[in-house]
Amino acid sequence: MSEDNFFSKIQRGELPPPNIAETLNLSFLEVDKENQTLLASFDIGDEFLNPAGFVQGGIVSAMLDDTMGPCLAALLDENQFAPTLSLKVSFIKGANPGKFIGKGKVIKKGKSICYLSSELFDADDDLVATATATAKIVRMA
Amino acid sequence: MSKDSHFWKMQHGEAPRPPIAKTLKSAFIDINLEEKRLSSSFEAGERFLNPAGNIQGGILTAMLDATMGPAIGMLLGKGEFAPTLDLNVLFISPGKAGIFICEAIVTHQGKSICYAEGKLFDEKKRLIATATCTSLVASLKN
Repeated sequence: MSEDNFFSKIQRGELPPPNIAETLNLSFLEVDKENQTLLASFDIGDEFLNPAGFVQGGIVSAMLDDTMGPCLAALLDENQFAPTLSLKVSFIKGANPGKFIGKGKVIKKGKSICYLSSELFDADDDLVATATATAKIVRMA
Repeated sequence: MSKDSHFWKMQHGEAPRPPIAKTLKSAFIDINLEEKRLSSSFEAGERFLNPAGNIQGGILTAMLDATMGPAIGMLLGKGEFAPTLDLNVLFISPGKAGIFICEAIVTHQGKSICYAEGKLFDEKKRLIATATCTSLVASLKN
């Protein structure tokens, strides 16, 4: 783990945040490197609604991905990046647009392969969806 | 299958298309009811890029979901809908901002549970991601 990884640089304002963070109105509320957990908040508008009037499943997945992904990114070394290899999402409850809280955890950080999990809660603190992912640590070109 | 289902009402302009369809600039390019296949095109812009400069995985997932969902949706009866219970996505190649094509097939259509598979390609026909999903067929309460 390095304070010079891209996550820390973005947090310190030395690198711009990615566009997707602005699109999902993402903010990090808490980063606990010792326990390998992260809390994120999101705000999703009506442009992402499906025909049933709920936030579309892929956008729910995007929030889960953008909670556990940064949780791992916070633990990386300089010049490392960890693309997601696979993602499994379980949809528990229809998600109304508005604010969401993501809770991410790195279950296992290996030398190359990492296992992650996240939970997404709506503004009423109801569990909306859960996810697990496998990521691989690579060096940035 | 009923031509009075929500999918066909949208196709015939009798029901509005969902906001997510406009946001992802999606269009259905092939609908094959007999083979239970549906293909869509998407355009994902730079607002969806992750720190590596690629389209974020959840947005790739959104395109797969927005193709597998309608593939199931086109087979439903009047007043039925099919929320996704779970999604499994494998990310094969990074997706750059631009045009995507997604092909979906319904592999099982039960009375209450449906399975579908999706493949997402970029403009150069390179495989970007694949997915499977489980959906529950439910009826809208009147």
